[in-house]
Amino acid sequence: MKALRTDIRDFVTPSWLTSIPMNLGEPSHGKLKADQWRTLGTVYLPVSLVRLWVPPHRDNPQQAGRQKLLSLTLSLVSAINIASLRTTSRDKANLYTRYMTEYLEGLRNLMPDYQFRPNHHMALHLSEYLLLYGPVHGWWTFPFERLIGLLQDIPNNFKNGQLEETIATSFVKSANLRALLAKSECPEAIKNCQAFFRKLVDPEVRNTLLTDISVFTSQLEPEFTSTPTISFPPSTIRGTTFRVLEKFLCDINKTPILRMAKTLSYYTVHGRTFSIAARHKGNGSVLVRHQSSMLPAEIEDIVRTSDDQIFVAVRYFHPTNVNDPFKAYPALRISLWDSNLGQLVIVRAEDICGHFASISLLWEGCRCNVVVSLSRVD
Amino acid sequence: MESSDPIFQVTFFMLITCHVILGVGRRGCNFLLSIVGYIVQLTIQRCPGKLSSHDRKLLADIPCDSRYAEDRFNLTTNATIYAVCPNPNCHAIHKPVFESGSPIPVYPKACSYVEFAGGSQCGTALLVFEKVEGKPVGVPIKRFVAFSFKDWLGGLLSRPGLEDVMDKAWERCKIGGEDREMNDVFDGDMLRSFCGPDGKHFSLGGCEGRYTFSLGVDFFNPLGNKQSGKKKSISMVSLVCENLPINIRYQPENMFLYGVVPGPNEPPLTCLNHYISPLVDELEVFWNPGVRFTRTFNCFYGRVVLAALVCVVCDLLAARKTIGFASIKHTQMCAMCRCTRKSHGLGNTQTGSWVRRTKDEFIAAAERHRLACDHKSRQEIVDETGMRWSVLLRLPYFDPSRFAVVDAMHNLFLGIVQEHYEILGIRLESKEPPAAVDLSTALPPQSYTHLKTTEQTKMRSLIRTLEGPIRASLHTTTGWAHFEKKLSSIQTECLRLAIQRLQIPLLPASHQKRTKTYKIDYIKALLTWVRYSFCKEIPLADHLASSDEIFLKTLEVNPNSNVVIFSLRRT
Repeated sequence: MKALRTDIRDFVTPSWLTSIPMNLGEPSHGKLKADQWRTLGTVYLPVSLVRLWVPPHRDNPQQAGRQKLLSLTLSLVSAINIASLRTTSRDKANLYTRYMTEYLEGLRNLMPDYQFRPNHHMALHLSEYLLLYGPVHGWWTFPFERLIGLLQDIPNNFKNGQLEETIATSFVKSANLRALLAKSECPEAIKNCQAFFRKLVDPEVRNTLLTDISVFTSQLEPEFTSTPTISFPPSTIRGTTFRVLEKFLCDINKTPILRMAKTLSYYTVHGRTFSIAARHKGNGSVLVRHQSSMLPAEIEDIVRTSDDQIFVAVRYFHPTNVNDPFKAYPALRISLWDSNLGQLVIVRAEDICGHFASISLLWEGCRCNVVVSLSRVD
Repeated sequence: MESSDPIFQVTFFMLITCHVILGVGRRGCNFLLSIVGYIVQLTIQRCPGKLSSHDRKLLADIPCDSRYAEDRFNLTTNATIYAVCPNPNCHAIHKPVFESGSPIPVYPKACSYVEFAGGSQCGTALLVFEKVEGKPVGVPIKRFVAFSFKDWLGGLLSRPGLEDVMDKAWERCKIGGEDREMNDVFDGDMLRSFCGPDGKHFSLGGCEGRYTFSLGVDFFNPLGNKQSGKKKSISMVSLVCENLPINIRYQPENMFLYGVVPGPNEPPLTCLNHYISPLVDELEVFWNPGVRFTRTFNCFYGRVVLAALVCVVCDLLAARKTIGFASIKHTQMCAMCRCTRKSHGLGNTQTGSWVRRTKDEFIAAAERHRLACDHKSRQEIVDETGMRWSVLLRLPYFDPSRFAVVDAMHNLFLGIVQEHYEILGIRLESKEPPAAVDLSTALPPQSYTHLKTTEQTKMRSLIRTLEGPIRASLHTTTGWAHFEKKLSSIQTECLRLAIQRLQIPLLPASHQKRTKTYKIDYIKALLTWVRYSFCKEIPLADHLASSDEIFLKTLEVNPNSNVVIFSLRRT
């Protein structure tokens, strides 16, 4: 428990990932939300457990049981990861059932007295629905729960029988107001206020579900990049970045750029903010598409050239030589990397596909970084 | 609205936004309105020269009541207010009738719902009478506000661009083979094989609009999710159009809120049917023959639209009420397959051996349930089949075995992950551990069976309090006062019984002239007994100090029963 708490503190995460209370386990934080359980289960738990239980303690009599429990946990997390991917297919649904069956059978062998819950049975039906209705986001209750959140916020007079009416009519009013802006007969002056209104009703994305949804936007709509509207005066690109960038542009036969260009500290694509690591370490930890695989890297500089192209200077993580305990479970999307960073490289903004959460730990005597991929696309 | 000045338009827009979205009250809105009015006046007067007649009119026209703004925007949608039968076992809803030319809705006086064929009417009174303009007008005791799906869909289709994307959604159904990658509902097998009322695939409607919807039902507490605090449960029924692209599908303006089922308690099992039934009426028409909208954004001359409900998204508890499944604790534990607790058990993983339930099986069982003539035979049918009748079955295409989805969020994240933490031995949700018995009171339940039910409940709570770890706090003044107050809610009869059974001597009354024993005397005796159990000597208690002639001393402490016997001696 204590280890889990320190891991929550030490993890470097992007800002959109739902945050978990630091004082986990104390009553003061109240009930955890489903989204928090999800993050807790798929990001923090596997890493913490592996860190605690994998290095063999020969003298510990619980060792064998722990190893089994650990492999069960990893099967479960794999199953959940597969089920909550943004895309699904027949193969993935079968893989999900395999992992889930593995988990349940393992649990039954390990604890013969354990009383199974109806949920365990239902979980095995999930794969049928994956095939019937496609990926989970089309048919899970997250959006409805969010609607409930909106309904709960509506002020009411706490009287039975009256508050239900207030809630219903107020909600319909606010929905109609939102819809009004999209209607063609909306007066010009009010349409001009649309930008302010959007800012009011769509606050900053800070939970996993909304990020999921906005990433879909990126697949459905043409790519657009919004940058801070305040235009910074062009500044000098830092020496090293400039040299690498110059070489990169030469290689792809482009005209060399001016020394003076805009260096940004962050940019936002569909709700996800990528920033330089010096500004926000979590938002600067990105996965870069590199020849059909994804490599973790840290953003050092972001440069916007005069023709509105964004180039990102990153340093890749080095692969590590130690044994990776997560290798047996590819669906966890967790891997170990060396904590030293590599050479500065330039990549295009389009190649950056997502964030990862990371934590550094001492593994077989080496300082390593555990990288938990948060992209749910593959 | 269009005719008014842009300054007013924007001002009203601001007020409405504050009122509707931020929840600013009417007083706050009036304040904002008057301040903005003043700002406008200051701005106009800053320009030198005389005011034009237009500006003077503008200043004169500034309204002083924010309700005016709301009326101009016309945000309210027409809703039907049903009278709900206040009988907690009935919940039938009754539609109002309007007499010609009168805006006053007329409801039936008593509930006429007949639950079982050939049975009697419910007969509960529905109305209270209030005087309006000297005449008594019947107002429903319990009301349910339902919005019209047809109106809402019409509004949705009148917005630019939406019709195009909604029609385009079907194109996804045509691409990809067996092992395609699925991105959305339209890639799934369900919609690919979904046939319309004419037997052809649902999307093949020519120029008709063919849209699919999912129904969400969930119960929630309108007073917030605090552990402490009041508990109420109301439910919302909402429809989402699956044809919309996912990024706008769940925006509040694109979700149809059908209604909020009134609380304070959840309607019992089959009673949710009453509330959904007007929605099902509308959906029946939307399926066959379809609804003709006189004008949509794309079709100036009107368009026929067919709508189908293709999935019901809710957690297991709400699914039970909406679709009529048996409880998850029931032996027919699963609504999808014929596994029972006895034959398979919850931990069974041989998915191959599970027998899937079929649509016909569901419908046959539900029909039997509906036609059954009393509660007992209905319960027998539920025990045998695990199904109840649901109003959704009136939709000819509704297939409970496939449309009721297992919710992944509740199942995986809230269910299995949470359970797994428990298995690992990490307790995150702090549950209060059962209070350790600090002091045994030796009051078995059979010793108070002669009491009334309410008194028995109080008796149990009294025993819990006395046995709990309260001794330390009884030594402080505030702690003493707290428990004195707590016990004062318990009937005197219970307190007297406890005192008799435990053989606790009453303390001498603080006032000499009191001849009768009051409740407070019992409470004091009980608390003193707890406070000084395990003590050899009882000091002169501060709360007893008022009766200064009293001196207390323990004579004897029985080590087996923890019972302290007081002996009281007057000095």
